[in-house]
Amino acid sequence: MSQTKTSEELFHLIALSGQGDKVAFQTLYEATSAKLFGLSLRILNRRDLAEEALQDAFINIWHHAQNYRPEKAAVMTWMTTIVRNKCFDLLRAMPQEAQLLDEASLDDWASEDLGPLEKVTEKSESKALLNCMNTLAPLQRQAIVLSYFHGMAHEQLAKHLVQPLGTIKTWIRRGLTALKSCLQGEKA
Amino acid sequence: MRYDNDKLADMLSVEYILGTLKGAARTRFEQLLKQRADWAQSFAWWESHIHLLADTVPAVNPPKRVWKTIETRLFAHRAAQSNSWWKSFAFISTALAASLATILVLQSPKPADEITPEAIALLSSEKAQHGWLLSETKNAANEVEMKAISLASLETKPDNAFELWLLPADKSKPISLGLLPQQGVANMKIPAQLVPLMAPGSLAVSLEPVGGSPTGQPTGAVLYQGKLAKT
Repeated sequence: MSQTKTSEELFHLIALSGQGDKVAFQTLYEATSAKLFGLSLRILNRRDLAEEALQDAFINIWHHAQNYRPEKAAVMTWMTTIVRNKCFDLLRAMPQEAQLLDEASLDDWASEDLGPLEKVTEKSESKALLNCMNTLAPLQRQAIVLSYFHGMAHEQLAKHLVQPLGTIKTWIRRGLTALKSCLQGEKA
Repeated sequence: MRYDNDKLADMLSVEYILGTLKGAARTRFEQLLKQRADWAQSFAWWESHIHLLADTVPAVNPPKRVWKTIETRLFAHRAAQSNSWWKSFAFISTALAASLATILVLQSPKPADEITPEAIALLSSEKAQHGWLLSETKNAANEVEMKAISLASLETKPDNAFELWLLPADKSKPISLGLLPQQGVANMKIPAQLVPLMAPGSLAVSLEPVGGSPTGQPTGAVLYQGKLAKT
């Protein structure tokens, strides 16, 4: 099973899936499901729910493959959005006390050394993102990561990170500005 | 000003992608994206970069059953046992329910204050044994209620519960409507969002542990099925 497919290959597979090609769809699943399952596990922190989210997401991907527009987002971005949304649907349906945070992964982000995270990334763009995340303060990084993987809004972040709401907002705004200029600089 | 505006576009784009921008603000942002090319550009930039965070998560191969389930749900659902089983009985039950409706209408010279059911269904087993008669009514507040009358021919199971499921017409997952009485009558409220799904969908009864399915999905055998017919 070849794990890494170029974005052109993925586009080809999604276009064929949109025309009802089941073999292309299975190939797309094989090429992307491990990364997307990893994401579901990170968000939901429960294997059964992560499996359910992945299943629902791929059902959705099959049904909407023909609506995929390459000019709007890369295939992996599009699929990631669908998986993440499914995960949050399940997360929201859970009682608050049943929602588990993957604390160990958060500690990875708070650490000064993002090496362990870099090991699992494949794309050069992701490595660039990590390099730029590394220039932010650890709590700024954590705030962004908590929002992305746990859907935390500013109010929840303030509670979780024990900071006033205004501080959180300022942090995130500054963090994002710094992140953007760093990433645009990296690219140039 | 333009500098601030750029920052605002960045903030809102990120909040939109993260999902923390909600309600009216979310809709307004979507409209702005259509009108403002610079905002759309900022949004596309963030979308392609924020989701790179997902790439920092270790890949984990999902178990084989995940693909099997996807394949079954997408390509083999017509052959799935419970569905095809249901299909063969749908016609019979609908016909029976329709004839029952006729009888009910003919026999009752309805008192002015009594509510006429909107639809009824007869839930029957594979051996054509009848378990319950369901009638869907609307109360004064326009809420839809389902009255379930257990029939004498019902084979009771004191150590189990009978759970009623709505099988939506689009073949999405069964939705629990509640537990059925083993004797006498029970009333169930049908949530407003389910009302439009009731008539096009099918009904099935599964055998569950006392208290109902622990998983939110049918776990035991499907013993009775039926379909609502308009009165």
